[in-house]
Amino acid sequence: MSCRCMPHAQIFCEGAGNLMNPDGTITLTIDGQAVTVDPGTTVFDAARMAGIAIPVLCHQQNERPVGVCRVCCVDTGERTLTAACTRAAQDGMNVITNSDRVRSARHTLIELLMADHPSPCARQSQSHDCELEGLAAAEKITGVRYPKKKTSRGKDNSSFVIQVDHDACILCDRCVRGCNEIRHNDVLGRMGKGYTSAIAFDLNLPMGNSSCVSCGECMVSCPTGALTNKGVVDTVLPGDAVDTEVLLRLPYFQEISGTFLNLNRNAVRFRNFKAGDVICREGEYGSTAFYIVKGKASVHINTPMAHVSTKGGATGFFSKLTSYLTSDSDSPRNADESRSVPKPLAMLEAGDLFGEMTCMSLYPRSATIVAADDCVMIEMLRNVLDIMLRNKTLRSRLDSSYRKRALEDHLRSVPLFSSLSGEFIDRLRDRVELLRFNRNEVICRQGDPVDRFYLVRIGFVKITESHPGGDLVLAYLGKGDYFGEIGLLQGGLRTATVTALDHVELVSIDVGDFHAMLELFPDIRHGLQAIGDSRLRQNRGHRTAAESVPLNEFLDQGLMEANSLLLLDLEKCTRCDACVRACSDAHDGVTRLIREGLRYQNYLVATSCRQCRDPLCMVGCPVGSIRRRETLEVVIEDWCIGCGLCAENCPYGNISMHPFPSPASVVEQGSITKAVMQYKATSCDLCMDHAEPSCVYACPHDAAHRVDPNEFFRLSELR
Amino acid sequence: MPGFPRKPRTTKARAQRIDRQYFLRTFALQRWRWILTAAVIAPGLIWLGFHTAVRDNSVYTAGALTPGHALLNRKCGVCHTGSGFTARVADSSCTACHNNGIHQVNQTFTPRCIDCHRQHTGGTLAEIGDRQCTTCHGSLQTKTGDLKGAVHVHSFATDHPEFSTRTGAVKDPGTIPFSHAVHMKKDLRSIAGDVTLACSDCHQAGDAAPDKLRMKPVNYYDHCSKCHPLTFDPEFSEQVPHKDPAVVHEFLTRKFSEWIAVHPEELRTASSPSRIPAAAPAASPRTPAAWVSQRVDQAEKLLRVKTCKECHDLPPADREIPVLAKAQIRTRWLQHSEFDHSAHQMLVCESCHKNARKSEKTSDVLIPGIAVCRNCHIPGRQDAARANCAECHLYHDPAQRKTPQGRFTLDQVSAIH
Amino acid sequence: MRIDSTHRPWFWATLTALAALTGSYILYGAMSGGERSGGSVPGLLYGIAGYGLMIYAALLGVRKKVPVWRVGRAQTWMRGHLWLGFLTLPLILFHCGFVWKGPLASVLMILLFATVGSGVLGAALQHFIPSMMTRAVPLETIYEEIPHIRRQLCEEADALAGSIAGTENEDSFLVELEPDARAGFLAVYRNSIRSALAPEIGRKEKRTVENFENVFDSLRKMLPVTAHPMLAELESICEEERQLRLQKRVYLWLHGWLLVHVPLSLALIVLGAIHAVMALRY
Repeated sequence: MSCRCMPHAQIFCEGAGNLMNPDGTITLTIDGQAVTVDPGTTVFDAARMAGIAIPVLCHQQNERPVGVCRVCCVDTGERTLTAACTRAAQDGMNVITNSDRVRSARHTLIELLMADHPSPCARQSQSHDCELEGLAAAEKITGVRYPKKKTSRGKDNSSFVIQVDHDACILCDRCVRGCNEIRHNDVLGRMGKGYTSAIAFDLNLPMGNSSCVSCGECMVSCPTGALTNKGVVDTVLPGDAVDTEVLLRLPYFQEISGTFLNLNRNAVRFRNFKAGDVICREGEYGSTAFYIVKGKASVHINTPMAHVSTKGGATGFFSKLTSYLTSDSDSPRNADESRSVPKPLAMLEAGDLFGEMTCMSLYPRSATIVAADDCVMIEMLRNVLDIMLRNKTLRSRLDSSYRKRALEDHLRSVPLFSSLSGEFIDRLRDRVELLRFNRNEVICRQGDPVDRFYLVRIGFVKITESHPGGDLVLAYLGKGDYFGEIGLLQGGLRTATVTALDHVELVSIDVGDFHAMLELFPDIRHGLQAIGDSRLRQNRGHRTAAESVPLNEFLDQGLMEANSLLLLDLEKCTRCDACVRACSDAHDGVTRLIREGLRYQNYLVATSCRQCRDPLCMVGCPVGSIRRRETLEVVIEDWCIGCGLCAENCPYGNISMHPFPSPASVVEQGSITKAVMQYKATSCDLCMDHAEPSCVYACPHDAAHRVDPNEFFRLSELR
Repeated sequence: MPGFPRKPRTTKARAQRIDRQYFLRTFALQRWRWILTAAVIAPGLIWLGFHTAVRDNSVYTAGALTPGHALLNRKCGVCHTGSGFTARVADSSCTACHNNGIHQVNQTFTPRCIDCHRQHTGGTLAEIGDRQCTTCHGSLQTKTGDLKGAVHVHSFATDHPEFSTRTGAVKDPGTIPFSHAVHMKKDLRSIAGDVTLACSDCHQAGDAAPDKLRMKPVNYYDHCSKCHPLTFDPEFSEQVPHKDPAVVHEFLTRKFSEWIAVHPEELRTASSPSRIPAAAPAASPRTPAAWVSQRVDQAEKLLRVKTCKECHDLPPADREIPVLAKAQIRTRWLQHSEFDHSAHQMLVCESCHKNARKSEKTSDVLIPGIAVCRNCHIPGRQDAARANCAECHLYHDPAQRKTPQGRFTLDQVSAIH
Repeated sequence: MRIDSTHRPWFWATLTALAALTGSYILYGAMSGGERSGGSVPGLLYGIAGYGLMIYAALLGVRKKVPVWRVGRAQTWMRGHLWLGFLTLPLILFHCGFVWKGPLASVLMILLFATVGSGVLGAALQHFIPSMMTRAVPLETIYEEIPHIRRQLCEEADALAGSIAGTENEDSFLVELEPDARAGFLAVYRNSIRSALAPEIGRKEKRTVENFENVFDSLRKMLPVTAHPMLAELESICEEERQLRLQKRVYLWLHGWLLVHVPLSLALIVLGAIHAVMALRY
């Protein structure tokens, strides 16, 4: 059984117990406080929800709990203390987290761990945030009564990025889980027994020689100085460099690993803006998010239709598509600088984060942000934002600020809910759940029981219906859209599967509040009913129409996604490979295009980057190297670490991994120096340095064309 | 079981089947392209190289030489004697064997032999196009500046000047009065009977070159003596020799002397009435010498007044032994070109020499003009006779032709390898 | 490449050039009075122009080796090669005055005709074959990778056969077969289908499975219904393999003529250079 808030988690329920509450929740007591949670929630999470912090070492919010370190032990009234991170809460349980027994157990545990810890470890010296030493300090452990172990497990300097100190390792397995379950790189594991137990890379290879891709997940997860950073990634942002010390003093960076910040020193910059400065323009491409340290900024939107859909998502399948397809031409991408900015829609203040959709999913900026007074902001790239958002404190702070300020506007911006009264919104404010999903995560499945209504806050979701022949995509919904109403209105089971296409944040209203809303505001009910009916009609029509219209093939191949296709006219192409050779010559001997793929009409849609509107490849890049700069082309910067995620994500196979000699060389066997080959991702960049793509330029038979599929195939005519 | 169902055929699946480095490998077609290139070029180079190695550059020839030079087909260096890179044919290569003299002393420039005589065409060397000639004669200039004729000649059909025989520049210097009209009548009285003369009875072509081209001059013994005998006395059947009067006088004297020596009784006989009635009868001769002298006078008078006078212009009688003017029969009428009668022997003589039958005077020049020639000699037509300059005119001055000494030994030109 | 309406400017330009050259040749013929030769001034000009165009045509090969250099679009070079290269024939004929004697000159003329002729043939092939190939081989792939793909198809076919008939150790849990049916299927598979997909090492390739519809019809009768989807997949593999073989043959037609054109043209250039040098020498 999986918990909704921890999708990866598998909780071993030790008895379901009696469901005491009529709505299915359970109530337990933690330190005298009554807490009501859903069944399956762990004691640790229940305590967290109640605001009670239980110290942990091996548990990490985004990882499956394993209960190895036992630092989170609590008294649940049983014979022994139990690890709170793995124990499922039961109805009527009485948990004590701060009794003497618990505290002395914790103290001894930490002391035992500190006995073998090379204090101060690397992390403590660099960024003063070794979690073990932090806990030791909190427990006021100064001297250790137990002798240090005599054998050393050694250090490993072979990786370029990560320093390994096996003596500082407390075998918490966070790195193993991070590498295997989160990053799916499957490099780390455990080896040995007793005092020789240690983490190992592949079959105990030195880290630099293993299949480690230096994504940094292990290092970021490691609570101690066992895995710390070595190198610095040189992304360069405008603005002043930021001192890690300064950053760590800011409230939301305090909980972030200083090691990580050091690693990504150049991914974070201070920016100073004067009043009236335009910080970003609507429709521009970018790859950064901004966090306001000081000052205020106003939000302006020129074309609300394109970005914050006020039509409530009920405009039908095709027009929804075309609104995405034509939104770019509407948006003032090459906006006249002198165009006056419309009236502000909202105000942002210190502690607010904006631009996360551009940063996480590389959409064009959805609004123009103008500094209202002199501001100090921090601009950051995707990997830093990613880590920040995993920070539970920041997230809860962001969530609460959203609830306070933006939720009402967001709800009201959907015309269907415009008639909601102020008190109802107040009621909803703290009851809505703010959910986040990553790419390809299923939000709800066809056939599941219905329990929530969803509003999309950030990102895109795909609605599909499964049939014996395959999945039929019914809709793509984005910011401002909602779904789940059909099941709630009709009752029963979900009629479709909803999948997150990129980094998605949802506002979810549970079924009780939803029904209350419908009762209190009958127009909403009618409106929703009408929309639901029309959606059902459309879906039916779409199902039948999809078979016959050639548009289906266009969609099937995903051609509408593309901004730029490389088409090879098979009537003219003599299969001479001149295009491939040209591409390879222009790109270090590695071709970025393959003359293979599916056909559309008489064209071969070559396997070469399509510059998608919604680039799935960019989701999840750990170092933010695959991105768009100011223009359309998707580029992969030099600092790609070769983790292969983008290649896996690209549904068309346009990105391929290729070994390149890295600047460093390794001396092997005394005298022979070999260049170290490092895998990097390669992809077509439309030959940005030239006026025309090399493949088109080099085709002797006028068969290769780089086209915008909408103009080329006149999509509107096909409709 | 992993086999079923198969992986879906998406773009990604299709693309990932391919090895991205495939185009860096060399495949059969590419390899064969290079192999065949080498296979075609190498034999070519070997073939040429072989010929160069054996110093036989005849592969580069643009065509065979004329049959006369066939021995030199493989001996390029005999004519192509230039030093350094270019191996042009210098005049010295040709004049070593053929030295035919230049055209005119006054010509402003002398073309090279090869400018007109093009080799390697397989045809004869003597076939020269008009262009070679009209380069100069189109608008002639000479070193000294004086121009004698053929100043603006471009083609036989257009602006070739009239023949000098017609323009009056050339005259008949003949001193023998002759009338073609009389002699071409039918049934002329002759000693042999009635005879009708044909042109070829008197006009025959010469025997040996260069006289072959022209008609032999008419002479007395071959052409006139049959009808115009030189009898001098009825008692003598002999004729006087057709020679100088001095010779004739001596002949007559001898003849009569011999006669009177054999027939002394002739002294007392009265002379038969002479054919020339005398104003006063002549006294009978007393001595043989006087008889001889008398009879010689009579004979000479006859000859002078009648017989010789037929054709020769003689001073009045009783003079000293006359000196006769030379006949001056012209054999070559066209000074600047050659006419070959044998090439025209299919024609009736009079069709070109139209005025012959009407001609009564020796001074008539009966050589036809250019118009007659233009009947058949039309340039540029395959069904007409050739009309290029070289057909009639020579470039090389024959007077300057030198006999070459020869250049090669037998071994050098021998074709036996 | 298709010779379509975009070639019109080239066509007209070539035609105009040809007309102008023919006019100049007639003039030259008239003025020289029958004494046309390659060594005369007009003859030399024709020869130089012709050889220059030949060099330009040969440079196309070089251009294809440096596709990224911005020296003009490959398309322009290709069209120039086609149309201007065609002009070499009349130019050289004018150069020699339609008369050629001598061994080297005769060889060169043969090479010229053969080169231009093979070029025209090649252009025709490349005009018609691509669209024919597109229609006839929908499952086309990259020619050089065909052996690799065929190996993959063999593996897939083997896996499918395994899913029908199982392996030595275990039966297929997708299809239940009688032992006779199993043996029969395996026999047909090994003899007819598999040997056509990829022969054993050293053996010559068998012809593609002729009329494999019949083979599969008989298999469908032999095997139960549960096996039919897998048979359908096997059939599609056979179909793909048949198409790949067809693609190989068509590809050789599409590119084989180059094996004649390229060597001859290079020989023409080399020997032509020698001819030029030697002719100027003499």
